[in-house]
Amino acid sequence: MIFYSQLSSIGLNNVYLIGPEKGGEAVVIDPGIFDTKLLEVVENNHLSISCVLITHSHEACTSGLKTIMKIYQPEIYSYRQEVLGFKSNKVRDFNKIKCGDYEFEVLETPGHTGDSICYRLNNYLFTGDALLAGSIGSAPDDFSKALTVSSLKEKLLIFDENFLIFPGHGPPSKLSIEKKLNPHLQ
Amino acid sequence: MFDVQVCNHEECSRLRVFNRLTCFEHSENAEELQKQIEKYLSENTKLMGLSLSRIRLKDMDLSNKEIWGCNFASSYFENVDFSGCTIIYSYFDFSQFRKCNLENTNLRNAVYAGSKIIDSSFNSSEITICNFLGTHCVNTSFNDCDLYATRFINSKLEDLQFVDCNLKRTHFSNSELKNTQFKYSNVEEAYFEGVIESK
Repeated sequence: MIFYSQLSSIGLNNVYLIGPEKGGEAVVIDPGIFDTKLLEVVENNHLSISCVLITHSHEACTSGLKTIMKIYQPEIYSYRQEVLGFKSNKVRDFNKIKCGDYEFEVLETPGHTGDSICYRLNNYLFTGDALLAGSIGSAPDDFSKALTVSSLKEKLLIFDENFLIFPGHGPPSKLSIEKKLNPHLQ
Repeated sequence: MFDVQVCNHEECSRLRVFNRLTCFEHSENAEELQKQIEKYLSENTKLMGLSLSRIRLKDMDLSNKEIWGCNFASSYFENVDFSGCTIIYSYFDFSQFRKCNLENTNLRNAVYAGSKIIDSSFNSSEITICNFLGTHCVNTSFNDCDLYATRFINSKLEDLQFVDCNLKRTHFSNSELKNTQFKYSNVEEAYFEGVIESK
């Protein structure tokens, strides 16, 4: 499996690209940017973007969508039915999304924003801004912060400790690390 | 990225060694397996997708390797030379490093969280967007490093040197700093909320 990430200059967001090594249908998660570097990775590996997964509708996660839609015609998946004017497949808790060789599970984790969701691919968790290494995403008020924490505990901390975490910002982590060391989850 | 597959042995939740069905502890001949792995690590420059958690490496030269998507969690490294390595998306969490050389390395999205790092050096390295959450670092130097967006949240840092470093977006929040120097580094661009500092 090709696993590639790039730091977006818009909002310093992590953009993730996943695709089969033999080439074929690829998935982009939170395209805050889609520049020539990312395009070269896609094309040089004989990939075509068939799915775009959005963890929440902040600009840092969606800005590159405009470029992607000019080159490919991917299905967009998010909590909303429209992202930047493009039609999106509305997803909810525990929905399964089939993207080429991969099946993602949707896990709602509201709090940072009302439309925050995480995506699970086998033992990988793409957590957007809901869960970051040693932190959680900013929340507009105490209620939203408490909502983030409770949804993370209910939806993510139930998985095996070896699950890998790929957040929207900052370094990767692991569920065992967050359970032991994230001050917000103690 | 490495496979996260559990050991075949009943009631064992540890991860398998790559290309094996069991973890180190449950392999038929752990000593022989250790030798084979040391040979593999020495002979190959590109180490991709290896799962080797709980390995013990001592007095080894792993300099100038490309380590991508590997798992060395809960391992022990003593006097291991990682200098000049490029380490990307690899996990060294809850490990121990003693007298290790990580100078002139390029670490990106690497995870050292929960590790104990003693008498080691990361001097002149690019350590960007790395995870050092909850590390206990003693007598270790990070001089002349780019630590952009690296996180040391909840760490215990004793007798450390961060001289002439880029600390833009580096998080030290809730850490305990004892005799730690930041001379010539841009501390104003780092995060120090809740830090407890002592001499």
